[in-house]
Amino acid sequence: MPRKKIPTKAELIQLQKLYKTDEKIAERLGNVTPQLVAYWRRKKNIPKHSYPKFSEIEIRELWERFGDDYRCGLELGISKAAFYNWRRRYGLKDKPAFLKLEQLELDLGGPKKLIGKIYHYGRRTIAQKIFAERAGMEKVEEGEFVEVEPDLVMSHLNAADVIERFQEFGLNYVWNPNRIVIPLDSCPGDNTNHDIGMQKAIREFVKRQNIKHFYDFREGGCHQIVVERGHVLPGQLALGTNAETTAYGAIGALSTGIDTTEMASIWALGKIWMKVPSTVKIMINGKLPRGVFAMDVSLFIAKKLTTGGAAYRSIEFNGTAMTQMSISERMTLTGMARSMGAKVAICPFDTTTRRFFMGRTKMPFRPALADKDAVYDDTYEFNIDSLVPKIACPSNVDNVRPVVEVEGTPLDKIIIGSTNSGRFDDLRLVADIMKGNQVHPDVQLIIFPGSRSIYLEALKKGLIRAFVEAGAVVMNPQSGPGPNDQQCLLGDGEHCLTTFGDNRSGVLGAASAEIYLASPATAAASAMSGVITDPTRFVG
Amino acid sequence: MCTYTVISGICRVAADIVVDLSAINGAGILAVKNADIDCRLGQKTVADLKTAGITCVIASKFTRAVFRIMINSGIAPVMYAETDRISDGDMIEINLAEGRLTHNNAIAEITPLPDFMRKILSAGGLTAYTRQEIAAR
Repeated sequence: MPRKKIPTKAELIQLQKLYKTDEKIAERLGNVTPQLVAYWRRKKNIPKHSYPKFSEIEIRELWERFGDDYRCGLELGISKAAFYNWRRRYGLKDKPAFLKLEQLELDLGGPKKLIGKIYHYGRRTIAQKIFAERAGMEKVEEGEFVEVEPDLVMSHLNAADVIERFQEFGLNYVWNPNRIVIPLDSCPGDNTNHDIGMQKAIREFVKRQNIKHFYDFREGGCHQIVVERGHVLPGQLALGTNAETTAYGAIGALSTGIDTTEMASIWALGKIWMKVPSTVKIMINGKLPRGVFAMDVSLFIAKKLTTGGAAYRSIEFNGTAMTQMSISERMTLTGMARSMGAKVAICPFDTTTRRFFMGRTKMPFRPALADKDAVYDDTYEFNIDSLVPKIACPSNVDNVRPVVEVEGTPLDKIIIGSTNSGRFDDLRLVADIMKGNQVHPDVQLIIFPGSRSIYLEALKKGLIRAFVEAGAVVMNPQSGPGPNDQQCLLGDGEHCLTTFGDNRSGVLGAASAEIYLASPATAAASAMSGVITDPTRFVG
Repeated sequence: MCTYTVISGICRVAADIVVDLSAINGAGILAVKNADIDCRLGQKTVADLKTAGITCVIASKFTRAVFRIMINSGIAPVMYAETDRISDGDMIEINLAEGRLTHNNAIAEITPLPDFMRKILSAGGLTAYTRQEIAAR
């Protein structure tokens, strides 16, 4: 049998282009096994044929739509350079003469006044995109009512209330046990009736309904768990029976609080009505100065917008300072947004978010980003270069003053925790500022680590030991004090400094008690002196 | 489409004024004039309104919480900027489907409510609506 002529490298590449797999090439050559073709390939250093991850149509469409490597890369979740390589691979060299968006939005005139606001394809905010997707519609307009199926619903201890209402419907099973997360936790300011029988009811219900994402008391704060365990993903719609649910906006999800009646209806039907909010864009530019943290920025914005400033609207954070912030800092921003009356608050998906989800979830997700020409209700631009530490004085979140103005006010209790702070970076900051100094004898410093993993990390790094040696009280991981946590409740006329998002009178015990809100750094500096203290000189 | 009679055009549900709900009978409408009052309406107040037979509240604005509570308890919240013009005993025609409010022969546009929202209102609240949906399965 005459020996088959071995094809050259160029020939083999040509064959692979035409016939793709080794088997097909072998068939074409005849008298050759696929293994032999594979052997030739390896010898000539030609990689095995594989279908590309992104199709030409996909790349071309994105390129024609945005005409910007960075923006297209964000849509696909790859870097700017990677997108450049992909488009060069498909021969897309030059920028498109007209962006597809603009072509669709050509102004054709017509009776504008009669129709009112005209919305085109594009021009959409993150909130509009996510609501449209969940409602199964092509596009939704601001102020429109839609019926949506949430991607995730969360109930903490008030799940007992939800269960009670759900059972009144007489249904045997919930709509989707995999989309329900129940962490046993209590948030400060919730008027949940704490009853031991409730916990029992929840545990029994969870077992009966096969709800896998159930976290008992040992695990920690509800919002921290949902984000930390990767239950909520970018571009999703999450609803929770707590006002601070807006915090999930930190990872680019749309999330808001609802009440227990509505939650029971979701458990039964899997849908709920929602109003598509208009959006306020808040640009936070500059660089965080020394001694100033995300909480100070939140309070600064709360003062500018006032408590009802963003009522029933969605907030999109942006700007150079926001993009520099970690997920933990973003959670403070978005969690505090509800104090301004905001329905949702979102930090758009970016590389920080992508890095956060690496290895955290196996579920695919599609982030939603606002269009370049999205229509905003208002745009605020803040520069934080010369910001000083801020404090919210009793008894409104927008009663914000610089810390130096109220310096020296004596305190009785200092509580660090909740969705705003209580993560590892906050605890480390507190330890760094205290540097082994003792807590002032007249003050109780109470610390709530956000979750079990944060608690363990703090144990490992010796923070818990430092806190206990300094005379602080370290509580079990949870969002904050419940209505029965005696250590944290305030007596008549007591002064308290917390890192929570709510300082209305009566939230923590007696109505006459005065509650101040500030960053964990201010809390730590104040704990050492027993009076409200500016943390700037303690931060190295 | 529903026609309502304004039960009390002057009832300011501010902190200092209490509406005499016992005097109200049958389907009625409550025009709220002070823009700030919506913040003070709580779950309990809304429940009181419902038991008094109020089926629609007109105000210049609603907060998110109040709007949700009203829909969920079956009271139609209608946003209408010129509440000052409404007086006691006026006839107001509201078409929620098409988003039209007719008052003194003047037609004003209001936010229309889609089908599923009107179903919630006609069922008498979210819980009743959920029961209906379950029964329809």
